[in-house]
Amino acid sequence: MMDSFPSDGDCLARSLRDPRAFALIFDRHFAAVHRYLHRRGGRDLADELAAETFALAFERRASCRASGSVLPWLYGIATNLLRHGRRAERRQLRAYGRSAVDRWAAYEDEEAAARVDGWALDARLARALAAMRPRERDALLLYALADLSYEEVALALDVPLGTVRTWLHRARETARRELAEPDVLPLATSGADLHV
Amino acid sequence: MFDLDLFRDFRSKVAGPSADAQGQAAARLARAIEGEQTPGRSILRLIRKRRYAALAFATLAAATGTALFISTPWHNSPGFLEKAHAALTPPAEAILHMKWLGSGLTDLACNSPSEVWIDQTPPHRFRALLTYPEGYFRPDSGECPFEGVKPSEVGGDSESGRQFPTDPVRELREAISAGRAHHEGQTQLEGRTVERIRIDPAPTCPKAVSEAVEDYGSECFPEPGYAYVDPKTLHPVRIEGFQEIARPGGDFFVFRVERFVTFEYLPRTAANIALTDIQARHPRARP
Repeated sequence: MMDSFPSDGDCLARSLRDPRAFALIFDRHFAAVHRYLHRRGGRDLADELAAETFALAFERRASCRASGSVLPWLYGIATNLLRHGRRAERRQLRAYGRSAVDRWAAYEDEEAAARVDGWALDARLARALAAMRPRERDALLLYALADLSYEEVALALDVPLGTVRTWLHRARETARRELAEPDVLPLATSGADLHV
Repeated sequence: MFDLDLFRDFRSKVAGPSADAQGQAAARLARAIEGEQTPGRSILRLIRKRRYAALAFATLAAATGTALFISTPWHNSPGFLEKAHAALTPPAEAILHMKWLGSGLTDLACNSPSEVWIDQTPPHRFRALLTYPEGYFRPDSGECPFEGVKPSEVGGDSESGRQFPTDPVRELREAISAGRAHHEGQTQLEGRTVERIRIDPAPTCPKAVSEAVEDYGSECFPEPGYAYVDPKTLHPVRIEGFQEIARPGGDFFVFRVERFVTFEYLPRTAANIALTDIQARHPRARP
């Protein structure tokens, strides 16, 4: 009997012998992966892809190289699944950027939703994201939404660290350019401070 | 220098996953896990029930139809069901001893058999070792170390007002008595020949799945369940169907499978009676 709290690595290793052990990975990380997908592609896409992420992760668990938390690996799978919906994601971001009305995400409560809809900054961020190349957007959102370090982003996307740095540099340039442009939407007066 | 951290606020107030979404994802993963353990079989379906209530932890409700290959044509055989009912009804002077494995997602990881001894003589004292006494879904609390998990031990009797709530064959017995059970012939199950019995929902059950999910008072599900019994002893080998399960965020109907490891009637000897007595085993324990 294991006395201590099993780590992700323990769960994963054990799941190779006893597939049931993978259930704890789900219990621990489903909400985080769903939230990441929700923020990227809206609720419906998140519902579909979060389930797909864990089914795929279970299938591919033998190939996981993570020694600590498996979250970066799970985010990587989720991000790859989003590739199939890139056009939809971009259309959605553009529409959100134009209208400042988020018709895809579900918010914690009506107040939050109303605040977001009236919040031009979020819409401008959406527009900047839409202007980025897909892999640059992936790297940026793994860093900003999933809170991964550069090294973890590299692990998630299975690319060298230098590539991540390059993508993030380009993402930063795109964001600076897009957010510096005069906007048809007024910036919020809620104190949102753009460090341009 | 532009700060990428600005993007951390993007859609930062989105809601968490709905119980439905989480349940469906859990069911899908559970099927994959179970599929690896038992190739080709899917065992778990989960539908959220919009009701918030406490619940007894494992009474099998009327259940679902999982399409299975049946080796013989469908037929009714009342003689068989009568015999099954008798075999599934413990003699008055006996101790019913059952040990069974449940299915589920977290349970799959934390699995250990539940076990109970029930004295068939009033006041029907029982002692049980239950793996999931506090609800089906375990958060990441570290309580599940995968192996050697310690089930909770509970006990009581009808006089104390605490009867054993989890008799997985009770539903089958009741269905046979009520004419809701139908013998469907022999089939192969996990490498052995078994007799299959379909358990139809009670007439009072909602007629549609949507009604069951929406109906705040309903505790049964409008799809059949199935029991598989040994052809010789007629004791249960497996019972499957929907049951109501409590989880944070609301109750669910979960398609569960109970696999019986042991089902036997022990003679009512002093030693076996002692197996039903939680206080004798734990004199210092408090209710």
